[in-house]
Amino acid sequence: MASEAHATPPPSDSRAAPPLISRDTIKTIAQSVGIAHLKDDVADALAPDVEFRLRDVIAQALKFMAHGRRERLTADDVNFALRLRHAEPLYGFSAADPPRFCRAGGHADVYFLDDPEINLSDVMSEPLPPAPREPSFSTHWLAVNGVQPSVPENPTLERGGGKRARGGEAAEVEVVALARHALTEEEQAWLERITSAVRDGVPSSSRGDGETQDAQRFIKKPRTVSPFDIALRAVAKDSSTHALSPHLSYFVASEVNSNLRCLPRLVSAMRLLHAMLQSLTVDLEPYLAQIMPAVLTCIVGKQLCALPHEDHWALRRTAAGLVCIVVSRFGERYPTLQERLTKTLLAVLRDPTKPLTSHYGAIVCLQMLGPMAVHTLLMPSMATYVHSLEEQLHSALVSSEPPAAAADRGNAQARSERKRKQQEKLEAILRLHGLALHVCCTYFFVHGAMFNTGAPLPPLSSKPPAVSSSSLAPGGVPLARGGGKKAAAARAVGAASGATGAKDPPSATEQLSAPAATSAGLQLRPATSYQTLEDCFGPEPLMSFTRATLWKPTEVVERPVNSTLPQALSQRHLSRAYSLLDAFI
Amino acid sequence: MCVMSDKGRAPDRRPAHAAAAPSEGALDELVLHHLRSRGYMQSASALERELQLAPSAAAAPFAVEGTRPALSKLLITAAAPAIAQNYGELRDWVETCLDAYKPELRRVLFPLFVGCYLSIVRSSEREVASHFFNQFREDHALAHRAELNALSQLTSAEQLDASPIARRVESDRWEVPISAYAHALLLHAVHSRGLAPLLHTLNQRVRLVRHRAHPDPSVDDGQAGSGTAAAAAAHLWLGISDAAIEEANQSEQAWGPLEMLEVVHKRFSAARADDAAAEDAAEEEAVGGEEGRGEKQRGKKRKPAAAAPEAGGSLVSNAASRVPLPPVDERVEKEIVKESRRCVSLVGRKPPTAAFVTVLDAAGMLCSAVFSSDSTILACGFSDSQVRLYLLKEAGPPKKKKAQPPKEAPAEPPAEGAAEGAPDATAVVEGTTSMEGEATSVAATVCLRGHAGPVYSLSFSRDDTILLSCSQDGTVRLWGIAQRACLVCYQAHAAPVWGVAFAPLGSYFATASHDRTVRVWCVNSLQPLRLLVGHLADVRCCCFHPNLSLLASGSDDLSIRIWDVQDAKCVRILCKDGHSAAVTCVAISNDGQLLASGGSDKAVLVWRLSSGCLLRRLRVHTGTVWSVGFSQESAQLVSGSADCSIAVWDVVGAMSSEETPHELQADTAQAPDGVAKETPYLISRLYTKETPVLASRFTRTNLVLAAGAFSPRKK
Repeated sequence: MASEAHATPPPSDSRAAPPLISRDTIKTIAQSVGIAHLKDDVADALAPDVEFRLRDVIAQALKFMAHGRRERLTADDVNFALRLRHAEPLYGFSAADPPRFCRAGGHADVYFLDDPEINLSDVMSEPLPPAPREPSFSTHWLAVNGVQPSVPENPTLERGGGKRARGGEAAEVEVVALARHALTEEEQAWLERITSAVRDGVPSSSRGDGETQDAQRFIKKPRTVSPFDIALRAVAKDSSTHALSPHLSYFVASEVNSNLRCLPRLVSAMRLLHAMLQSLTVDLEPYLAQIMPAVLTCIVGKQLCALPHEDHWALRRTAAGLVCIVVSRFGERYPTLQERLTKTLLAVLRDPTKPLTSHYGAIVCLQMLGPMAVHTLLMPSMATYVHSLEEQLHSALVSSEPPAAAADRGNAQARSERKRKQQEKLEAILRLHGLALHVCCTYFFVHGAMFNTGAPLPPLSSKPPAVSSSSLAPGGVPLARGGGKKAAAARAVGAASGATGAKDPPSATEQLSAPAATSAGLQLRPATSYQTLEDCFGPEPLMSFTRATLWKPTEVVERPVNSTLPQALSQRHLSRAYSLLDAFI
Repeated sequence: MCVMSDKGRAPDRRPAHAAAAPSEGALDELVLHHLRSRGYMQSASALERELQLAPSAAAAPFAVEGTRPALSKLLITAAAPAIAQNYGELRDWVETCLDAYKPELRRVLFPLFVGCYLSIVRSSEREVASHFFNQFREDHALAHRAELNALSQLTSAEQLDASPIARRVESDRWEVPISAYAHALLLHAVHSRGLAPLLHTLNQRVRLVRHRAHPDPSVDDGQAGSGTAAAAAAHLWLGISDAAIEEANQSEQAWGPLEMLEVVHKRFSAARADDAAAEDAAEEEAVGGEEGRGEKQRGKKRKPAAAAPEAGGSLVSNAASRVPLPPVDERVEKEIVKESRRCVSLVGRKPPTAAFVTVLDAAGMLCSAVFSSDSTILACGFSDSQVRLYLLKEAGPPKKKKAQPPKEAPAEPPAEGAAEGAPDATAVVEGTTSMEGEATSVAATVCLRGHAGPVYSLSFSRDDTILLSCSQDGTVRLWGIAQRACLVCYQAHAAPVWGVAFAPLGSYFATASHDRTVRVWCVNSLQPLRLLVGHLADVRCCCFHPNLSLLASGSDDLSIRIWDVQDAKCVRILCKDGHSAAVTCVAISNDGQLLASGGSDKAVLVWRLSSGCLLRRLRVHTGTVWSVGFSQESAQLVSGSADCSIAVWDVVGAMSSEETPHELQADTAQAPDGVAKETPYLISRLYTKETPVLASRFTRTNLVLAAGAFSPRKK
């Protein structure tokens, strides 16, 4: 019989595929369950039967898998199959983390079940695992008239399959389209409209004189609805802008780079960026490297407008505001972002060769970054900075004086040119000085408590603490309060700050004649932490920082200006500068 | 079903030698001689010693004529009844063997049958021969009718010598391809049962060619699409020839839709047409204001198009159902007619509009999903035995496409089914980019608990008041949607129930089970009304014909059977050129003419029911097709697959070039690669985001609805 069976298949073939379950396997298993010596016959008889049953169970388990709409066989499938064959299911394998079979080291065919012992107390002390989430559902349009809308729920169109879904165009088109970021026609049209609206729809008022209004308009809602506003609102509100974000950020950067002297274009670029930051769907994170240089340019740029009287100050402030938004949103993900930013700003600030406009932007931006930034970065050098400002102011005033005396020989144009430049510089100095004082005031009176561990600051309206004569200025004049207010104020101004001088012309003239006294009046201390204003500026000028005494434009009007101030600094101009400064406080 | 061992382990080694008893001495000598002639000298001497024969005696009569023929003749003549018995044993064993290897083993049976029969005839045992022939001819009746006829002529040894067929059979060896394990199984079975005579026949008549380790090459080849491979696969399973199938598919049936329903619908639509415009307007206002009015316009335009297929359908008799019909709920029908007026005509390759419901946090747990008839509820069966109802209407419609530019807004699809009741999207969360971000309100979910195993299939009744679910635990449960509770538990299947389907008018339903049966039930009876037996493997899915008297079922045996519900008879077998792997889903068009089926072989097949012929093989999917569905006027077909995509097919185009089998061959020859030629009848293929599509269908307004569980590849 054996020989006959042997004759059926080609002899070599019968050896080709060894059975899955061999005699040795059976013997090994027998040993593992305590049967030491299993006869070969028995093992031979058992092996094919075991294999048959095994295959049967696997075939059934695969059926359960298929009906469970899965592609992975689970322990449950096998258990169902076993139950179907009236066999005991396997226990302990259905857990989320079932024990695994591991290969025994050094043996190719020896496996064991890796089932480590678990300390029950450890398990008990562990926090509960998160509860599995209840299945939920969401609905979306898979296709509208055969076209798949580009909503997040649908696969991205870059995928080859997705492209093909759009109506089965020719194959080569598809390959080309894969390489670049494909915008649909509608998206392209929309992008075009937005960019053109931003280019054209520059609010006309910003070119004129209403700078402050413009600044307000940027922050607040525009009064009239122009295409530009509509575009901005669309960018901010519409979620489909998501796909356009790289294009928009590129647009912003290129607008800034190519229109450095065109203030309106810069303003509208910043407004677009603001809208993008408002949008929930536009993710600027990948494009920060592109955008940040542009914004910083708008903050610390040397000259951002074609005509001197344009309000590039507002632009700097708004750009600084945007930087703050960016830092607050992405600062956590990029810890170096703020660091690099402040480094840049401080470098600008510490470089005396940089124009005052850049300094202005740097200070504004640092101030907007928050009281902490002011405390650590700005305040240590603020006193010296203010001091140098005063000197500049002084020199500006002095230098602007001569023309009056000088018989104006030069042609009128050159003279007016010079005059204009002086005005500009004066305005810049005044603005900067006002800003610096504003920063200091805010710091001391508003945020001071944050850093103040000592005695509370005096309330603004109350009398300043009594000052002993020893701490007085070298002039040795005791501060008279109350009745001698005028004189005290005058002295204080003279001793403390040029700003007061600017506001308080008579005292300014007084002190300007003796600049040495001014510098002597400032007692600078190399303090690292500033408890009070006195620490920074010396004891006197506390009162001088209150609005009531210092920032009254009426005083300016009352004073005989002409005698002391240069002609160039006209009354009107000065008062406007004051009012601007006033707006800061 | 642990077959082999139950039967075969019991050692009964009686047959061969016992039968050879009569000439004991002669046989021994014969064996001795044979051993010597083959050179087994040691064995021969051992036997000699055992028999204690004189060496001289061995030389005697056989030396001249040669031992081998004599030996075989002796064996054969001795063992005629044993052969018959052995064949029966082997056949029984094959029938109870593993499904995966059964086709191959069946393939061996016919040559064995022929060989055995000829051997018996040669032994001149007429009664044994005729009994044997009659006993087993039915097995091969369908596949080998011609050969059986020829064989039945041969009743004596003389005839054998004269017959060319017999001579050919006896001289040649029949080549049968077989996989390694099936081969091992066969040999083991033959040995363990001691079927020696059968083994002899096997060696003589059959050459087993072991081709590979795995069975059924047609499935995993990837070339599965080609018609021949599929046909071969089907044959292996069924053992049925094409001719036989054609013969079986001859019976006349009424394939039209249900006459009564048609009548009711006509009455309603006529009534509506007659109604004054005012009433119409008022009603539409109630439905959906301006939108409704727009729909009305379109509905009127659509009329002629919708009438066309009806006319086509009426060519075939719209016979009344042979099954007693349940009462028609006029309210529901009225609603259906009303809704059908908003239906968008899809004739002419109109690109589809599809809404998709993604089930989140259910990867690997979702076993089944089905939309309610009015598309307001999605029922999902989970592997944790729960059934969840998702109330789509309460959660709000799908988002308006945000990315669409404003100018396209007027082109908004008119096909907004009931799923989109309120136009303002309340559940829209703007800016959520991740799928997990959106969770639905708990109020929109109803959890039904009761099963004790994964829920494999679900079905809504026509009026959406009842849901049926079937599970691994062998039960079918009936749930009241309003009550949100299990009302009835039907327990007749002993094995897991894979599929359940409600009849068009409700009341009846059918279940498909692992026990290879389809059972037809009435909701008010705890026992099935009919048992439809005939499939050779698990029945995966079933679906009623629109006229209610017919039922289609798809099975793991690669075939689709159409049953007459009243007689419980199989009236069609759809397997010629059919699937090459298990049939996973079936759907019958509303006009009752076409049947679509999807399978694990990744193909969608369209069949003509009246002829039982394959119309088209639609191949584009790269994963198992899990659902198919016809549009309302049967102009389009939607299929959802495990490859995370939905395909919409042009049925009209596929039918227009009908009855051209040659072209069909050409199509299928090119189709398998998918790159060679764009698939001919594909209208659109819509991709989901890593979401295998479990359910897909057309709503009554011809909107494509689909659902699946979001299954990100990497967790």
